[in-house]
Amino acid sequence: MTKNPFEFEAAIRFSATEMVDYFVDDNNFARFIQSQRNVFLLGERGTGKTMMLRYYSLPIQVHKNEGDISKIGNSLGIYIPCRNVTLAKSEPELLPKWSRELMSEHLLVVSVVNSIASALIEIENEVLPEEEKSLRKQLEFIFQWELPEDSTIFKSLKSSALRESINIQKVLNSRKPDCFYDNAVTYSSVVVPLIETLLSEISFFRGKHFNLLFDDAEALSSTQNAVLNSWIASRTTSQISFKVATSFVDQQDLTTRTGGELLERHDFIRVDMTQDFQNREASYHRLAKDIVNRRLEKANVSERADDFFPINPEMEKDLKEAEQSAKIKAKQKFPDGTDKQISDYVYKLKRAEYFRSRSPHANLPPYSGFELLVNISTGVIRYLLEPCFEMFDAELSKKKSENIVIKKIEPSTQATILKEMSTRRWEWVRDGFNNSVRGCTNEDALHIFQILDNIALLFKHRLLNHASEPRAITFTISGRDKVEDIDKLDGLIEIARRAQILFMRTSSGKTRDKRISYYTFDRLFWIERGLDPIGQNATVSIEAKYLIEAALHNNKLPVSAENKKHNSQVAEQPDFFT
Amino acid sequence: MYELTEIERLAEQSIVRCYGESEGKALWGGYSNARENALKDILPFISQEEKELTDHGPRHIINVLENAVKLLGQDACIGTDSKTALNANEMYFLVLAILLHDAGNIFGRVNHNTKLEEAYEHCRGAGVDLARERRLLYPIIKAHCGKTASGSKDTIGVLSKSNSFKSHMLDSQRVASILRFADELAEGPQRTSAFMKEHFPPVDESRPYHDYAEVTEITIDRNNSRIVVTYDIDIFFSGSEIDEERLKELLDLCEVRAIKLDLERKYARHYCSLLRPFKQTEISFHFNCNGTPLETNILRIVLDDLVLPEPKKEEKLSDKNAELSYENLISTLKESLKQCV
Repeated sequence: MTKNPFEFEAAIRFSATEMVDYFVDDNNFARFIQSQRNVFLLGERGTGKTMMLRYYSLPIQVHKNEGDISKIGNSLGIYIPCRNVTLAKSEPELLPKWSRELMSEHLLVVSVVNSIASALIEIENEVLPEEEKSLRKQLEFIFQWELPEDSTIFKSLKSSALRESINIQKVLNSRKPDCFYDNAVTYSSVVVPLIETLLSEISFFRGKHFNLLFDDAEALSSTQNAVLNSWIASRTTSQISFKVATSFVDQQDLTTRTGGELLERHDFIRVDMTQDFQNREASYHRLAKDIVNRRLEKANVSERADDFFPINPEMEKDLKEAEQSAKIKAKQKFPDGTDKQISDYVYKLKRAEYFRSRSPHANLPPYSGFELLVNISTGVIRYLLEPCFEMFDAELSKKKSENIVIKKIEPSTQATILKEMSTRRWEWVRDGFNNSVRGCTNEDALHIFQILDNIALLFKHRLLNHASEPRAITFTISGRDKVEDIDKLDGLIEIARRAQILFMRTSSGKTRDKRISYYTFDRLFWIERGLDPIGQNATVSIEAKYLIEAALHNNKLPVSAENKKHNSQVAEQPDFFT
Repeated sequence: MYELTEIERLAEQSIVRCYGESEGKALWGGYSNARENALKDILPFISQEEKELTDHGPRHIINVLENAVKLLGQDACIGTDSKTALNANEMYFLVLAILLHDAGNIFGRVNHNTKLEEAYEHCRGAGVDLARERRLLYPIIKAHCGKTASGSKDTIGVLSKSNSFKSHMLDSQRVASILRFADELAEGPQRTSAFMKEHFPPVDESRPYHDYAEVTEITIDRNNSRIVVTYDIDIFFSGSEIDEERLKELLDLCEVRAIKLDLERKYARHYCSLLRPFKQTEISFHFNCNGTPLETNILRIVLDDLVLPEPKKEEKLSDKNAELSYENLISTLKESLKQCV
């Protein structure tokens, strides 16, 4: 049966082979993962954080190098998922402060030890028998755990970590208000000595560096988060570094156990994985193309991304005609204009001309083409793969055969799937949003829908009428200090971001004296409304009061809501997600 | 003109609580007048006299005042137990000393810590009733830099721990320690001006100090028991290629100043128990070219009070981190630059 090459499952579920097959090395981020510095990786769900961390973990690197350990380099990646049952225990949060910190650290340490042991099982053959014997004794001394004799050292360590997890659960189950676990271990009493012992006593580990890769750190409790931050702040050894992946919206604070804070650049560097996708030549477009091409290659499809997802020929022809029309209008508007004036005008208006030339009664445009798909993904890889997956399945089902090679996705299939997905997205916001988004009430869902709906109307109006920036689909919010219930608006924005229907990036304004937040909705929404999801390098400034009125009372956003005097503070459209 | 800083507000509270409404307000009123006079008549004009210096004017004084409360923590400014907090006298002398510690620069940098009398008299007055205050204040200010009469650098050690002022205690050593350390930590871009550097460049001897101020950021992190020094260096210095000579000059100065800062930390901790939480100085270097970060993989350096039972030897930062030796560093930077371009 033909396998769909655009699997977009959460990377945590990929097999080692799939990881190696599907991963595309983005040099922007790989060097950070492999460095010896502490790194915080921030990005929305689906931007590739787990993929990145798992790929550089030891088991995947061993698999990638087909078991040739000599090729794995000096950095040993230990993948530690924070979203796991051991760490999800909420009982420690009910304890007094000191017990809470102790128990939380113990659970975190046990998870780390379990992950280290699991990873090192892949290379246990590199430990010489005499080394293993000595190591076993030393680890028993350090941990004060009995390591089962009937397994290899790392399997024993893993079993012991599991047993510790059970032991502490029993203590927590006792429900004593001040329950205390005598055998609680800490990072400095166990993890550091474990790593130091491995590095000094086992010849294979000499010169290596342990790279602890914490994924989904937003899932940690606040106490666990403070504990982890304390480890990061205290690290002085070059033998261990921390890479912490977390979502933008739910990222936790940087407070340590002592109440201090981690300092960016000094204690860690922050890497934003959300990508600039506004510029066609930007790295995200290249990455997107590489990912899709890789998937096609693995599926034995010889066509490349642009040919596999061709644009509708009619649309392509109409776009070219619109460009000509824009050129004529440019020459009429600037009879003595320079080449640059003409080309700037054409660049801004050519696609708008296409949309404006369509009859108001016409069906939606035949949205298609790889460039469009990349733009619709709004910088999130998962949002690129998901429509590709559905399109492939749809194309396959049309062929009515189980074993067939798909050479391209017909433009009609692309358009149909995009419209269906866009409609489902709108329906979800309208009808099911509050059931699936944490902290969202019925009322919040309605308000968010009304904002989205009215912004869509505003953008539609601009697309059909605006003289210079008709395809702007990014906005800023002005006049925040003039409204009393700005907290309400901010709350709605946070919910929308958490649901990943709204994305935010900050950049310096033209005057460079403050940071400005730029917002864009998931571009898939614009398909159903007949807008141009490709957008242009421009921003619409909308006053906060009008957004609040749109949210609460479903008032239309006035076209003059764009506060023109604020445009001077708006950057030339920033690289949206750099 | 300049709003009261947090430590000044706490000092006022402490003084009024200790001396009562009438006498406390009178004493504080004296400080307020001195403050107004200093900020209006003396401090803004230091740069006219010493053009090449980094900023020693009002902004610097405010910075030192802010540093003082970050060093002490709020509890140490309002408590009543002398083991854990400054008393009212100490708060008063601390803010007054900070206010006037650089006023002598109006007469020139050399021995500025001793040329205080005229500035004090203008700001505070010359009355006989202020003699006791002068006698206690001048040594505190003198101790913030320079040497003792016998040529020793232990300027705080010669101060008295138990003075009396208005029938209450004053530990001059700990006040001087806080002043000195807060002043040492008042470094950063706020002490220089990018515009002035470009259009009225400093003379060659002063240039490294202005460069140093521009690249330095100091964080007083009491809760994490550390002072953090971050150096953010543009290796092009706004030009179009690496200025190696200027870079080396700056790195040498960073080396010297970072180690000096750590020594000041240890010195201050010795004389002021309230500064004991600061157990280490952490230093990190970050390089960029015209704003684009360069990846160098240089780990931070920690200077702490750990003393091993082995003979002491001269330490350089590059002893702690070989990546920071100039030869290694310049080749790393050039490599990183290639990747960046």
